[in-house]
Amino acid sequence: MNSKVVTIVFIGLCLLLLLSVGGSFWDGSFDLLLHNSENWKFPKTLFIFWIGMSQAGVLLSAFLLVMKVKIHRRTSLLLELCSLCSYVVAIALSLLYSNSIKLNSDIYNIGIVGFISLLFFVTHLVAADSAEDVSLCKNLAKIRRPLACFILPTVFWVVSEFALDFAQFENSLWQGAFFPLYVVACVFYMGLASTIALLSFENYYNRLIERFILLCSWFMSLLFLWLMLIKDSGSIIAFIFACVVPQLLLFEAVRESLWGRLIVVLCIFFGVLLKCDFVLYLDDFHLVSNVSLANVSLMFAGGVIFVFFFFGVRILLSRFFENDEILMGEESDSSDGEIPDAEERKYYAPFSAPEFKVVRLPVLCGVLAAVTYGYFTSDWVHLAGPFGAYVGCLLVCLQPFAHVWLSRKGKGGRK
Amino acid sequence: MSMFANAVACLLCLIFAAFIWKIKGLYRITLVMFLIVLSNCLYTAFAGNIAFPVLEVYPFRMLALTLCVFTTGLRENRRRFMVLAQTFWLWVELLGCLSLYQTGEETPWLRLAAIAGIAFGCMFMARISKEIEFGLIVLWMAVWMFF
Repeated sequence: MNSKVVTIVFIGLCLLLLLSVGGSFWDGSFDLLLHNSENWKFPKTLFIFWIGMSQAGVLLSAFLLVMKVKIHRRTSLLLELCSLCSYVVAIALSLLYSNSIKLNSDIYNIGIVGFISLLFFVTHLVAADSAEDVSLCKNLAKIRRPLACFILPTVFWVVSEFALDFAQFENSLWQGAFFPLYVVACVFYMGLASTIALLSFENYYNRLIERFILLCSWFMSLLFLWLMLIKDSGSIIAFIFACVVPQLLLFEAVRESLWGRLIVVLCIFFGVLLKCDFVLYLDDFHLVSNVSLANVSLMFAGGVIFVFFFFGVRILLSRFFENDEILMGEESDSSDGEIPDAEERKYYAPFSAPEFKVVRLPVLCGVLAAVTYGYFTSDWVHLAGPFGAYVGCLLVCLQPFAHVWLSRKGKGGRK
Repeated sequence: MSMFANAVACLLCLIFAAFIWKIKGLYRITLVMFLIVLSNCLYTAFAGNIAFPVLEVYPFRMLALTLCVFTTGLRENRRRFMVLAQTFWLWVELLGCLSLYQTGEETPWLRLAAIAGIAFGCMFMARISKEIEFGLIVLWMAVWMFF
């Protein structure tokens, strides 16, 4: 990791935060920052943005693992850590501005995804640690993909449910089947953009992800335009920032330049932020026309908290991130990441793959837990699914410890 | 959307799937997929009334059916991708059902159950023969047309 650049970015963000807070005295918006006012809606826009970011990293990491697209361990660890740090920012915002950000039952779903993401990240970290017990590391590495199989549908479900509830309770214009699909696509897109940004700090970049982001931007353009067509309203500026600007990646000069890539990624984030504002107010220029230095301060404060936690943890855990061992589902420098190895080409009869053997009991227990929860609370739509996934993930994570304990007990018995 | 327009959409999906089978390379396949989604959107906009909430996800249902048919032509990891394609279809349908349910309109739960049933059945398949492939395509078309 390039510590010098990280330090410069952190100090730069802190200075900008100080300047904007100072400026908020000048334009009279300082009161908004101090008082938890119900009328100031910008924290809600930021909250939606950071909640999206909190799902993005883990969604992308799990998706790539399930689809057997091979990426470096470092990349997936960065994505998972990005998710967790975004949670911190979202939680901080919701605590500080509780009057503006009204939370409903979806927050429990998001909390469950947060907990599962933490399990996923810790499993990945411990599995990567060669100083730990070798058999435990191997067993933990085996549960990575099964965990991803739990996380992926859970995140899809939670984000869709969040979007459906937002449409039902906040803004009825977005009611319909397309909006959740659109939100999931946006979250995925943010995940790809954050990968490029985070890898830049590692002096490293992934051409596969860069190709994905370009291809994804074409589909996002279609989704933006389709939404505009069916709802008769849409944010043109957000479309330009999030979908048109990334087409610059078609030019080699932009693609190969660090600054070029970073500018494209920042434009995508800004476009998504504008879109978050648009879904709340249905006004293309709301964010720009209501700009105050308090808004800017809050934006930078979110950035500072994120950078502080993200790079703080990254530096603390650098020995895990820079471990060169290669695990299942990940690649070495020499491979392009798309060639399956011999193990993956092996044919497995139905319900006999190694991953299935790991997940069968947890899935059964998860389904039972979800049914029990649904039966006793009559809440089949909101929490039953995530609760089942929570139980399933816990059981999957306990398996390696049970295996190690049983094998040690067996060895002890033979002696 | 009328029965005839629905049948034409199904036919379009089969044609698109046959077209994707012939394409190779990440960029080309993505470009073709992009064109397919674009065609689906245009078809839905012209053939149906897009103010009707069910049609919001119609292009993506068409895409899901195309992907399901496409997976029958895969040589490796066919069962896995077949189940994934049907899960995508199931997810799109589920969102449609939930949003209709929330607005108090009639919800096609039977279609959802049929897709879930076929996807679950696919998990049990070992080597998938040509006859089973054909049977699956017929089943998907039946779900598309009649449920």
